[in-house]
Amino acid sequence: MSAAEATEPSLGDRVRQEVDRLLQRGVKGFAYLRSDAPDVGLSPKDSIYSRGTLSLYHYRPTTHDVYRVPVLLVMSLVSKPYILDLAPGQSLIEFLVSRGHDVYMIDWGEPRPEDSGLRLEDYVLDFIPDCVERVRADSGEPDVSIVGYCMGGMLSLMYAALHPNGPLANLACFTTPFNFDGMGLMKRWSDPKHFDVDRIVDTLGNVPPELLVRSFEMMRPVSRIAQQIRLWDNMWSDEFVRSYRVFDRWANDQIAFPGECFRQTTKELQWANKLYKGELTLAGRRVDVKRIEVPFVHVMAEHDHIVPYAAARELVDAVGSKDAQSIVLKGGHVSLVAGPNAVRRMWPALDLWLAERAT
Amino acid sequence: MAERTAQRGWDPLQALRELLDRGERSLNEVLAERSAGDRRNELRSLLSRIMLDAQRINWRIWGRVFETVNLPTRTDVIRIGKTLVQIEQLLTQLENAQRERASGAERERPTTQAQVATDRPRPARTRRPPSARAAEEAR
Repeated sequence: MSAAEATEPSLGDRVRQEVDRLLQRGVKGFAYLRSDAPDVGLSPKDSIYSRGTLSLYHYRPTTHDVYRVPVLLVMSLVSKPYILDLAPGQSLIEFLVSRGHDVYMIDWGEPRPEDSGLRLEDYVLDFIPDCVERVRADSGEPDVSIVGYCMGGMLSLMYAALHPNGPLANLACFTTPFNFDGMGLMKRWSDPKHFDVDRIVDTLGNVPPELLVRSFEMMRPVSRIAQQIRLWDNMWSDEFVRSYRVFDRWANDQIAFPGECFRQTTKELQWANKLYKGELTLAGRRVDVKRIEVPFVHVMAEHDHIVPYAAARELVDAVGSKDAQSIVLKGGHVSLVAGPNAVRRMWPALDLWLAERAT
Repeated sequence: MAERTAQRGWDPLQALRELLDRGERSLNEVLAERSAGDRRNELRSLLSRIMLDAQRINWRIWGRVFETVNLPTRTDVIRIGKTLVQIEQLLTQLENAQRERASGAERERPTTQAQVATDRPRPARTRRPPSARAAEEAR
């Protein structure tokens, strides 16, 4: 008898296992339907500054010493920040704090109707610099590392390009779009021939989160049903269900896109690709990513359907940093920061990259 | 994978799971591709125009109703919200100015550790990167 045959379960065992799982699916399925939404964003934190809907948080250190340079996380405008702090053991923030980083985070909050006039200028030239100053004041350190996720990476990139003389120490971007010609479906859906961005913004003000959620779903129209089938199939596994629920909660919990910023992003980035061409100007200042000379890392996902690899890959060569590198991981837009591959590969790589540049 | 399956013998449930993965991938590709065609885009544009116009008319009608019964309309609420934002910004500016005055000679360097709130844990900022620690240990 070979080793493989010895370890493989017999047909009878497999049938028994499936029957057992079938029973558990029924029992746990009822519990699933009755239980509340999972708690997320549980890492202990203090709000150290708020302004309008913006909140700046400081995560409580858990080590007896921390690296000198604090880390500021900049979230995307349209996603809730708890993707970086989903659940204990599934939280990038918890991981970074446990590895001795002093972590702060900008949570943009949900824009109110009166915030519909916010533009990229407000974020890049006002909110981020303001928060950087608050972090410097709170930490007592003159420089700050920034980690930006998705659109937060893009805002951080613009901030870094327009503040080349500091106080930025290091810049890490996750799945940050740069060449919008590579945006695939998103680019084709927003074709100026058909997509009337002015009508949307002028009528609605902020772009409602439902529109964003449906757009993301339309990129993978069958996935919703397939995920439901997978959930039923794995209902016996508490670990699978827990993970599914936090991801599902986050995916359906998007926030509105401030109207003017959406208009600007669509016209100047999506249509005219001005960031890539070096033609984007904010308050009369040209955003030239070549001016970024601080250590830079760009983490991308090979199968990202929201920010495809083609839209992100050229960024590392475009910045002026001598210390620039990219990390490409298998997986998608979300699993990049919170999936098993992120836990195994991305988090340790980011920790090491930051640690070596944080003294 | 196929080898392993062959070794284990045919597992119909595993085959169904693999079929689901493959089917999902192919269907997503086909449907997403079709959704980006010119005719689909045109249709989506037409539908969104109709919905947005209906929304606008709806708000206008309700606005008139609220005006008639002397209640604030959506535009009034947004206007009040904008005024509140301006007040918030003014307060932030005042706060910043006060902070700058207070910092005085320390302006070159932001607030020191001693000045910041002490109710939160403040570990020493002396942690060394793994490479430096390894080098120290080697010595």
